[in-house]
Amino acid sequence: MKTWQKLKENPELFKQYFVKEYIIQATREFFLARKYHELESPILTNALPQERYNDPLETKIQLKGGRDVNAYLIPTTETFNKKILAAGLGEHFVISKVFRALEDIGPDHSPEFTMLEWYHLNANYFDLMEDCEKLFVYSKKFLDGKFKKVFSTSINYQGQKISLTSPWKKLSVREGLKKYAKVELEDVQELVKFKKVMKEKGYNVDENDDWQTLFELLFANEIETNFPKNKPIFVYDYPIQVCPLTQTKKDDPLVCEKVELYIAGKEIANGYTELRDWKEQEKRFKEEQAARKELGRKPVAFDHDLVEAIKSGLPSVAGIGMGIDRVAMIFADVKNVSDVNYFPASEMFE
Amino acid sequence: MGFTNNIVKGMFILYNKEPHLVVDRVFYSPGKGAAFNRTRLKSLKTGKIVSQTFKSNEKVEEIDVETKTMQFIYVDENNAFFMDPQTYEQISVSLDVIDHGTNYLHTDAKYVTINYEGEVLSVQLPGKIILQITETSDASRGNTATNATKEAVLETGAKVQVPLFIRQGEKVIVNTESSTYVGKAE
Repeated sequence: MKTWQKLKENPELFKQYFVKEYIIQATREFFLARKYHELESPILTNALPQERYNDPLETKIQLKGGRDVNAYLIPTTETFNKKILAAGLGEHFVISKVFRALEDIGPDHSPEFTMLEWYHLNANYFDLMEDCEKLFVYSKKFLDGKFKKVFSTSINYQGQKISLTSPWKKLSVREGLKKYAKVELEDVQELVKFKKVMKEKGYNVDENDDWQTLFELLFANEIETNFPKNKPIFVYDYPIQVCPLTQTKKDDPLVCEKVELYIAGKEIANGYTELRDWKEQEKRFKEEQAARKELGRKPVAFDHDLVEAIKSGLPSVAGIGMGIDRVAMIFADVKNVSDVNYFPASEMFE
Repeated sequence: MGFTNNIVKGMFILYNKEPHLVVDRVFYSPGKGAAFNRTRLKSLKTGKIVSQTFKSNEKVEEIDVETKTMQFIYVDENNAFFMDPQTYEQISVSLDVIDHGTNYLHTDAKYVTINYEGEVLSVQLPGKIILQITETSDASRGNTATNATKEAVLETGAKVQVPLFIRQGEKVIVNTESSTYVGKAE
């Protein structure tokens, strides 16, 4: 049975789907009260930031005279946020559909999903963590009001109580590596050494594995599995190897000022203190472009306009993207992303 | 037995030298590293479920298992006993490795045992099972809400939510995976 049919049969079910609608309303209220602008992002773009493991959805547009041009469906609104920041719009947020080409349609994944991004001026990634805490509590209050419930700062998700009371847990990648994986970041800087460590741990390592892959494998298997269940957790200070758009931390050249938010084992948000050095940005894009080529991946059009915008001057800013479908899943207490969308991808493509 | 980089749900693999069933597999591409398969593996020895992430191209050792259709006979405190209807041979299986314990064991239903190296590793329940309701309240009158349900106890002791019109003594069809009411048995 399709979702619309289930709803027709049991209108009570609508409540579950209203959660996402209310979260979007709460988000708008939250940022408008802070005097943020709302940006409307294009969905189609001609170029993308270079990232070695990005799998954009591609399409074609036919222009006058029968000329085809390639277009991508945006994987993030980030490039437009930065260009408009360079132009001087100031603090703003955007709620947009974004797309990923190469993932299963699963409980936490859909090829298209709703992303909220916001850009906080004169701020760094720690300020973003505070924003997240406040936005969640604000949304919870909004939802409790809509559903005529007594306001509480905790959520029940799949039988687990999650407390939203500040402060949320924080864990640096360095601490996580040391505490749970017994690995020092310094010791695995060279790929050869990292491979050796992973082999000793019993992982299947082969010659094609790069640093990023080994890191994700270690992170997913040994760090993520230890996250608390009763509290959201911010993981921060990621190795520079995994963040091509982020500013390197001032007193620690091995990590960058990036934060990821995890709730109930799901990655919910990903933010960072934005890189403002255009030369560094161009250099990293070129490195990522070269890495794509080496990996035999299809090239993606280089966004020179973005480098140009950063070159013209970007204000000091921290930006973050948050997956609204996953937030809705948690607030609605459902296991599957298809249970917060009226027209889930799983009903169309599987 | 062989190696494969195509892990799928329902496959039996050797993981940490022990046989495991792949109960869940999601392919994902986090954008910070190649693509991965996030899996949940159930140890066929202990019934314990672990999360494990593999590289998408990583080879895992698939094991050959034998399946046999068996008839359920009875349970004692820790084990369920099944019989091979061809040879009349009887085997016992620890309840720890049977999903939902005794909830969906019934002599009228068919079960498939998964055997590896002569040992029973797990028992597949029938997807749907017909069971009689031994206890439920008579709550059909008065409440007209279309989606209202009540709790019912089945002859195996399992509890499911059923529509209000279902009465004690009636037989119902239950989905064994989700433990939900499917319909009234004719």
